[in-house]
Amino acid sequence: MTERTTTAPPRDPATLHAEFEAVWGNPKGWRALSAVNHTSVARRFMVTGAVFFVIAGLLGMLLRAQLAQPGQGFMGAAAYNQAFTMHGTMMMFLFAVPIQQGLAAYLLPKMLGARDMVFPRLGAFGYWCYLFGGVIFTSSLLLGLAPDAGWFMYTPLSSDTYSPGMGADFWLLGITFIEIATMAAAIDIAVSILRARAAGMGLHQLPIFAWSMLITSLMVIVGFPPLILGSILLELERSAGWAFFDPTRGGDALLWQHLFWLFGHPEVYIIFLPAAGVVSTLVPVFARRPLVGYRWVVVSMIGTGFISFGLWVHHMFAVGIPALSQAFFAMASMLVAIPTGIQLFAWIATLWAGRPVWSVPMLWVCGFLVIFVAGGLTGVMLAFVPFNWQVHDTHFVVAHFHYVLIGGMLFPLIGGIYYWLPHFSGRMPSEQLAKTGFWLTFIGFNGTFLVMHWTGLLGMPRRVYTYDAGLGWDLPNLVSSVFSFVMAFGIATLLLDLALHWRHGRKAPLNPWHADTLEWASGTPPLSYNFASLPRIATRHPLWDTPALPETIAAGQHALPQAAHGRRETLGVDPVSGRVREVIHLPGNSWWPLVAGGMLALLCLALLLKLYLPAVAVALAAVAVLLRWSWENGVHPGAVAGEGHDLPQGLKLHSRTFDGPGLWGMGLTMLADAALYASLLFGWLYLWTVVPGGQVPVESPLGTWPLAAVTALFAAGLWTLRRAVRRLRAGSDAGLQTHLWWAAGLGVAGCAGLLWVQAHAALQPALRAQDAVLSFTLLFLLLHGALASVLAALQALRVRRGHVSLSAPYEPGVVAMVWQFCTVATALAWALMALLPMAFGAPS
Amino acid sequence: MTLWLVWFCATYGGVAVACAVAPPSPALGPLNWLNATVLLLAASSTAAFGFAAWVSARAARRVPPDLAGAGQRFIARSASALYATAAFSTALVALPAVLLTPCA
Repeated sequence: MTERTTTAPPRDPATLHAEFEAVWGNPKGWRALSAVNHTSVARRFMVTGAVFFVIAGLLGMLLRAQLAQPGQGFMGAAAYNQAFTMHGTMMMFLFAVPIQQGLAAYLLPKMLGARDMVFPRLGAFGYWCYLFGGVIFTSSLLLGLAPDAGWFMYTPLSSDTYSPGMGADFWLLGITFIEIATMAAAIDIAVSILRARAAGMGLHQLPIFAWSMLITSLMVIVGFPPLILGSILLELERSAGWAFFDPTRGGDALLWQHLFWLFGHPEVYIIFLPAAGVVSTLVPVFARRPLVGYRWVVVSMIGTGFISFGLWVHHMFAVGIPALSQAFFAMASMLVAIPTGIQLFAWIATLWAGRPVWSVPMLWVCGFLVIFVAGGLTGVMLAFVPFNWQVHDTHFVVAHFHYVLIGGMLFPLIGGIYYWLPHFSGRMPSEQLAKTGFWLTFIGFNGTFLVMHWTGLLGMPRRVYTYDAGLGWDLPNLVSSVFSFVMAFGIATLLLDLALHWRHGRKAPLNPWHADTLEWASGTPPLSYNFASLPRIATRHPLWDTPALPETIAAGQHALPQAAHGRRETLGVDPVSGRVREVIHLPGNSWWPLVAGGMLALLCLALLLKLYLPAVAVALAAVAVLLRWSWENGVHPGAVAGEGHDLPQGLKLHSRTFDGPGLWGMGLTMLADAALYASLLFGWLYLWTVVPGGQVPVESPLGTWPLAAVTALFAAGLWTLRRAVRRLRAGSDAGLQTHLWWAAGLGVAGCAGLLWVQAHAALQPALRAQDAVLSFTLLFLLLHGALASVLAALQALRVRRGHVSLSAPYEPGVVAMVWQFCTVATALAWALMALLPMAFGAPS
Repeated sequence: MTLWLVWFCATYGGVAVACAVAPPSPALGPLNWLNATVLLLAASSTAAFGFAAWVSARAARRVPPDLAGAGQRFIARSASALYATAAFSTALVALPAVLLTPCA
């Protein structure tokens, strides 16, 4: 049972609301663009995602119209290639991940008993990057310059030799820009789940949707960087002629495939797991009992997340990799079905043991169960290498992934939207329209894609814009195309229902589904601050165990029941136990996210148009904006109002401690950076050991000792910073500014060393792939060293201004993480690129 | 599971490098030094993961069966399940090395 946590006498809810609204409310008119409140930002993510879904869906309709009959001239090959590339890319990057991150950003603070995400401005910045990047990318369609090399952009087709136009650049630059949003959201979500929860909510009591988003976000942080790296390398190859994927210059086209699918397979589980979390949330509510096997479901999701990183080569079974190596991935691909199956059995067991109530959301859950299981079974079939070879690149594969993606993601998402619709808007949808929409979509989907398995088995390849009559493909294609229009009508019906319900839907009662999770206590529609006071939670089902919780929360009877101090506050907790550690103060509305997003959009455009000098200027300006934004942090008056003397006994504001969200956010950012760097080192070793003729010379062009010297300089800077942090922890800030200036100086010296190495190495990145990797590595280390130096210098300035001191000791430890990364990365470069060739390189 | 991923990358990467620099003769079939190394590494990893699963399960049993220990029990039991998953996954993924010739 939830403990009663009446830490304060009840207050008048109306007065309390006005007090909170003054601090948390969004500005009106055009100033609303500066809002950083998670509810507003998340709504924008979801609406924008829905718009991109409709555009991508219309592209899908064009594809089906073209394939309805053999020999049609409705679309030529060029238009068709652009259409399927944009359809797949938009669905995967502009719809599936962002809309679920938007749903998570909307729900999680409410489910976890917090008032906002921990990085509100970062979330807003992510939205602007997503919007601007998505608009730039989609505009390629209108300009007739859309990419046409498929959503996975295999080299050499996507290299400048065979894709000389701007299409591939739109993909590489546009998608990388959008991925900033995905990464930002993932870091925000992960840290929010770990550190900003209700008091007492331990890991074992997390809402199951929070578990799914935590695992998904960690997968994004590790899984997206390989693609980011690959995209940067390919764009460098296209624009600067550097050789990474060109086999005539020591590169390898398969390196792109490895980097892409290292991202690409986890990506599909990044898309599936949030939907599984939605299903795990809905099923117990409509079964009217707790989820059977909560711990089994958590372990299964974690297992799925990890195993998914060991499957990527099953997308490459036809490239000629040896049988034993393929077999490892085949076994892992079959293995991943087991944890997914465990989740399925948990859901079935919950329904079986409960007293199910059938509703519109449950219709979609049932549709998911049928379609996703079918897709999963064909996935296990595809895991068998001999069978895979038969259906590789046919419509069988297209049918499989539409079953798992639409069944495994879209159906739960729509079910979730219908479930939380009363929460979003305070109104109920039309049952009639909703059910009509479901059946049209379900029947239309199965009519389209079930038949497509047969089309594939009959040998029809993917990505062909037409086909000859008489091959046995005519009738199946016609059936698929007709049913695709049925499905489109289904989606249109749903959109109509959503649009009409805002005006005509009946008012929703409080908690219409009698759910157990906390978000239903935040108001329907939700208040800008979610909760007027923050309850202590010691159960997985707070609203079932304490039905009066919404009233006591609104009356201010729990923690932090005031906002007259002008601060946006939520509780910071221990990630495992949920014990309260500090009060997290959150930034208010800000224009910095919009400005920074706009600068990056300009940078993207400059690079697209190959205006490289202006691009450098814009990049420097963007960095300046980001650093100026970072200045309004911690105890800066723009980041926190008041000194926090009015906090509950024993608690401090997080910027007055050594821990806080920023430390965790920086840690996860460095993890992402490490994933990117590990991918780069993988590329180095791959080009050396696996590519024929890829031997590196025993004498590294980088020399033996220069990188060691740079490593020593960065290490000295790290030691200096760590010493400063140790002294702060011991209660002394004497010499703090000096330490920071010394660290900055050592960093600058290290960067000078890297420039010296670059100048003396005589590398030829346009002639040799290995030289390209070495050049890119030096540039990577230089950028990080420069960043570390600038951050240390900024810290020194903040000490001078009083924003960092013994009473505000938080930030140097955060910056030290960047230094740690620099030092380790340089050391690894020295070991693998300078020393290892001495042992195993080819004599010159 | 992180350790399982490390094992997986080491196995796949190791086989790839070995096939590039010193491939065993195809005439030997699956009975060669490379497959033996893969299987030995897999067997020892499976044993290590299995042991960790047993230790975690034992730790879970030692937590007092009251509400205060619920969080610790959850973590210990989950860890045990994940180590067991890693052990099973290692054994299963390495199984093809019993039958298949490497590098061909």
